[in-house]
Amino acid sequence: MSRQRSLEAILSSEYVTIGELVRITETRYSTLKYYTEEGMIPFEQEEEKLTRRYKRDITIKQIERIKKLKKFGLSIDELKKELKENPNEL
Amino acid sequence: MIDLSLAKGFAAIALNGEVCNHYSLAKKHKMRCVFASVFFDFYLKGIIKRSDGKYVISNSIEEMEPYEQYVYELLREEPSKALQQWINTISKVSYKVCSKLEGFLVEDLMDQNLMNDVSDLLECDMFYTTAGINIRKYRTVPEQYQFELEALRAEVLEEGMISDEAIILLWLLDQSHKLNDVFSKSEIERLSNIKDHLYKTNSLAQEVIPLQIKAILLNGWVRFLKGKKRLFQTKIGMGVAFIFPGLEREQSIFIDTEQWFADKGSRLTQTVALLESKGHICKIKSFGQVSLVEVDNVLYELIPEAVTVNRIPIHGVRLRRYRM
Repeated sequence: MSRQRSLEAILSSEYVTIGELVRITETRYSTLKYYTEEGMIPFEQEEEKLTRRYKRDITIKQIERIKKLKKFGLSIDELKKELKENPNEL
Repeated sequence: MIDLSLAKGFAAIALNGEVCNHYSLAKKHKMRCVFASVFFDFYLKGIIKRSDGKYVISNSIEEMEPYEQYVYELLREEPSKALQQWINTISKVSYKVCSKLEGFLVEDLMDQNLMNDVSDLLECDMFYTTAGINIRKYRTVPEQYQFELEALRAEVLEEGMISDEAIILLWLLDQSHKLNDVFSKSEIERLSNIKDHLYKTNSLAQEVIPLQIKAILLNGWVRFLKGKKRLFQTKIGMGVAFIFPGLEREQSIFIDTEQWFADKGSRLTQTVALLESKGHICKIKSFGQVSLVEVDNVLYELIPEAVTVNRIPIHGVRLRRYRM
């Protein structure tokens, strides 16, 4: 198992892993995995079984947007529709 | 992954791990919960409407799947009742109806390649293998199973609005005693606060949460079995089941590894290879002296053990059901 990066290292890097996103955004791992599988947060992956990488600043803003919309009262299906129709609104 | 309706999604969760051709009390109860899921699916689709405190089945029939058509014809015999009366009716649904509904749903799920029937994990138990026992069970495709659960967890455990479908699915999982399989202990504590909040703020939750699917005649026996299962989910109970596996068989399965392994890596590899050769899907969750493996969507600990048969020690691994 690889060593965990420090929070300072994570916050200064361009790409983060899903585990690091869990630490930064304090969102459940299973929730972030679900958002990833549903295409709600963008990621990069060189090959099928390699680790997925997320662009730190864009992904954090997207997760905050999702949280805000959910608090506002949107269901998961409505959230997906909103993100699909307005992908660049961060 | 496919977006399934409430009824199909719940059936995919509830039927996973159930024995195919045998009707236990637990399975009959789960099928009644599946029947209820079809009823609520009709409500979400507008086929059943709420009017003056009663739930009324409309006469208009859209294009329906075979299982929906079957349930619709049964419900239409008395089309207007209060919700509690509907649930009382569903609680008394017969074994024949349960069996037929199961047939329709399983056929649909298998046609969509979302479910298959495989040999039960108990067949891998050395004592069952030597007795020549064959047991088949349903297995939902792991990706679909995880998708259904993760969608629910993402909606319910995060702050924000919870849809009617999620409220009903939570209630169904509670009624079918699957909540402990889906959520960890700390999440279940959190869920009880969420349920309290929903009960105070959501009108559907106020109606649904107090309802119970029960079979009055079998209540005592079901309570005993539930109590027994709960007992063997505690730390002491799990230890007792480990020493006396016959008390709660599915929680303690002994696999003969056919060889003595000194190191945990080889032991794990051999056990997983044996399970996979019998058609089970295994995912290693954690590796150690006692490894954690997900077999057909269910978590087990792999504990090295030797049993003595006719004074001959047989080395192997005991699979013990793991509760989050």
